[in-house]
Amino acid sequence: MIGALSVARRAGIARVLSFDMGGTSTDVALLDATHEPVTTIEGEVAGVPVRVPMLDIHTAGAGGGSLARIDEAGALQVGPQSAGADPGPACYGRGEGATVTDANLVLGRLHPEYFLGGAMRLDADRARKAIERVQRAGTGFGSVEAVAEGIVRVANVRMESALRRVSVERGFDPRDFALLAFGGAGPLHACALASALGMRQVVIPAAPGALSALGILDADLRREFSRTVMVEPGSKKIGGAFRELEAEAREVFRAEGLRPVLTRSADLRYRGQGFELRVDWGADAVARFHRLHAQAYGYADSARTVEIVTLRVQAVVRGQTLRVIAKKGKRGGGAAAMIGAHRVFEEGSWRRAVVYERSRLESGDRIAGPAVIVELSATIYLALGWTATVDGFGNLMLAPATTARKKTGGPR
Amino acid sequence: MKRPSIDPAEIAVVGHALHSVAAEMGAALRRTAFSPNIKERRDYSSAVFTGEGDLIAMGDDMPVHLGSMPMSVSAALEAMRFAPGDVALLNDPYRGGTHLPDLTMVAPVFLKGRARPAFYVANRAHHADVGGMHPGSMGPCREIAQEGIRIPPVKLMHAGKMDAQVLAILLANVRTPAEREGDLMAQMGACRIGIARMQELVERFGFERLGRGVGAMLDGSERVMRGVLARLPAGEWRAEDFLDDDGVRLGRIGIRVAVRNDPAKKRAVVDFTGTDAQVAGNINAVYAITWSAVFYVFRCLLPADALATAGLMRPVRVIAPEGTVVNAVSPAAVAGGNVETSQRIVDTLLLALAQAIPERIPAASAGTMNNLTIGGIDTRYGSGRGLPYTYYETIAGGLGGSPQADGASGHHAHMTNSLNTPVEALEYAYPFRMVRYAIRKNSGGAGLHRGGDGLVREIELLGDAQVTLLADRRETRPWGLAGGEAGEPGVSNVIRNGREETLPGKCTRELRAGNRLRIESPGGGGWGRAKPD
Repeated sequence: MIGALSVARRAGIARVLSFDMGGTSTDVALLDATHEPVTTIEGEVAGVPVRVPMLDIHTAGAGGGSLARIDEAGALQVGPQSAGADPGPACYGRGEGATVTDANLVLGRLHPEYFLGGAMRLDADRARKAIERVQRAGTGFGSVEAVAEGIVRVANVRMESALRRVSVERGFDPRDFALLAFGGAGPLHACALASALGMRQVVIPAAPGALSALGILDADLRREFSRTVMVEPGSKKIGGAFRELEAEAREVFRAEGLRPVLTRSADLRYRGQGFELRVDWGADAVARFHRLHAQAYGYADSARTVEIVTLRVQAVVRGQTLRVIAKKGKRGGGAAAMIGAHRVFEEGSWRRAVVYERSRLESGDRIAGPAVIVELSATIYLALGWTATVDGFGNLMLAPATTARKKTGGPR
Repeated sequence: MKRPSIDPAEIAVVGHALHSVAAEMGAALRRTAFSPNIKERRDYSSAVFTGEGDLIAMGDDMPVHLGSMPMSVSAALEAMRFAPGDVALLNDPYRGGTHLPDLTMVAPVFLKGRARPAFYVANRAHHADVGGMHPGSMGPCREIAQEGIRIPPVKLMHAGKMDAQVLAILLANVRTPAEREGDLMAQMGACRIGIARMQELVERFGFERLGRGVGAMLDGSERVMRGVLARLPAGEWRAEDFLDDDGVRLGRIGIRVAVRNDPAKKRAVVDFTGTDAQVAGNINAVYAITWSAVFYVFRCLLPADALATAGLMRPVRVIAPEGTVVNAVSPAAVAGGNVETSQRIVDTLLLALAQAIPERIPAASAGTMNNLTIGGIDTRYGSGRGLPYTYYETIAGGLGGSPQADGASGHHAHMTNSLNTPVEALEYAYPFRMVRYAIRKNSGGAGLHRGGDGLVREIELLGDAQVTLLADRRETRPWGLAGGEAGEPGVSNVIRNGREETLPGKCTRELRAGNRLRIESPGGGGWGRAKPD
């Protein structure tokens, strides 16, 4: 997760929902690069509530290895049972059960020859047979492809609920975020999930399959200084408390010979509530709180007493090294990275798609979906109606074709 | 009746998406509520209904609300015609409510080009006071008029505007109006979130398609329940269990049930004929509660991922004769029916089912919510004169041992799915000091699988206050099964100047600053004969 945060910062995206889909489950988290990672005191460890700050990660019960089945209600369910690594998805050659990975293979979103950079050949016939078994267990299915599409849709709706949960429950709108997809299976589902949540930007970091384990060094130095004050907005304590926090911030950075940029924010609530919303500090902070409250929770009450729970000062020193690493790209079409043609099933029919090798894509290259982009640790599915651009750090930036250049996020 | 079959993926996608709407409503309510009972303990529920009032999604909230919310929606539909932006409010147990502190809001979801609501959203929250004789509105009363303000289905919002007069009457009748208003606003905001999310879902799926998915989901739920009934043995199983007393007169009150299952027809009947007549005190349950308790027990027999919808209960018939404690009629007092009698109905049903499927039924859990309400003046606020407060909380107990495992200690069981009020939150919000909060050792019944232990919660009052206790299993005990022993009954003591007095299970007392109240909740029953040491 920490790795995800620094990728987002390097890509210049401030607010990110990250989505790490592995074999058995998916972790989602809300990351705000303008602040420390959004931490929660509503955490739970092994079912025991703990009141310490932690990265706000929520686990959804579907991963690439999650098994599809027809339940007693006649509905297609995906997970929580998983084929795990052994026997694994049917297409790995040992298992019988149909998994999300098998569905992606049948739909052409995985390429049998290029899985894990070609290190492992997938058995497409075996995947198809497994899905046919699911088809026979239910009534009302169309083609095998429709079943496979259904498996992907059900897995997606579960991840969508989890992503909504980490954002909406904290008072955020997912449409203001970019989706950062990683883990072995995340980049296969990213376009569909972003569409469902109304998100306009997807980031696939370099080496998405390994990112969650990497913990990349952060380029920016940043630290947050905060104080719980529990006062009303007019209180005389506020100015002094902010100045003390800023002095403390400067002092800490001065010890490193650095001069940080400081920004003020505060956590507000109506007196008596148990949860706060964070707003940038300024003359209109309270008005902004009312607006945000109405947007997030359906009402605002300007007659009610507002309480400032916590004051925060964010100190940032922009990284210098990045400009050296960032490659200046020429606008290109990625022709050098094409390694074959493939067909993918989407929106009810088969479509022609190009297979690209990610390592040969150059910064500045721009390609249109549907396309399958393969690399060592993951496969990326660029859906119909989406385009992908390679940025200066090797990240793939995906956007719906019509708004490819429109950027979401950005500092608040 | 055969509908054209529908893509099984569609059923699952629609089901998950609707559940997500209910969960989001609940989150909005919790995050904006003011009273600890709602924001900390999560004593609320939220749900989504069809335009006909059938339950199609419910958050993972309070089981006692599960079956009773649909009755709120139908009562609101009978009482009024909705326009866009209207929100109905009700709490009348005899018109769609359960007990007076549970305030329920129902709001229509209108779609463009449709004159009638396409869906309804609703939420219910337990308010810490709705007036009446005792602070907290849960005291020993003899008729509903004593229990608090009674609200038949009325419009709190007209076309998006709050009805200031309705709100004024309500707030004039409660002890903590500012907190009530805040919680009501939170409920209203949650309705709006639900409406917006449902409109988004319709935009995404289209109304016709969503409707087909919902229909298939309801039919699927029915199929799941019929599958469960088909696997239960055929037969009739009878059981009875008792409440200690009704709080105003002595004497046990019997609940009697016969469960009849016909696997061939995949239908079951749950018949409470023979249950004692409604009583003078407040432990009378209205039909909605009894129906909820049956819904809860049968839902426990389903696969864990079965969605809670109206379709589930289609094959189960509930018979509860009017005028009994499981189907009380006005003007009976009902505050305890929702919290105590509901638990005993579950106990009685489980005892009956233990004869049918002994390998699946646990011993009795604590069997009481140990409802504690305290009201007084908090002199820490309000510049000298202080501000009134009302506190409400239920106290967890031990779970029964099951055929598979020991019972857990200190859990809310069955009809309540709430948390505790954390000590810090409690001391911050109320003039109390928590003296002791501990597991009540060895209160669970012995057995091959032990019953879980109850809790000890000892509170010192920092100011004078009126304390009301509404608890059961002080005399009767949570039973064991298959040779397991019963759990210890609960005890509630008041400590004044070092002298202890044991209180009845249901009572109200004026206490002074410095007095302490110690509640020891019952342990769960054990399952199976204990192995000799």
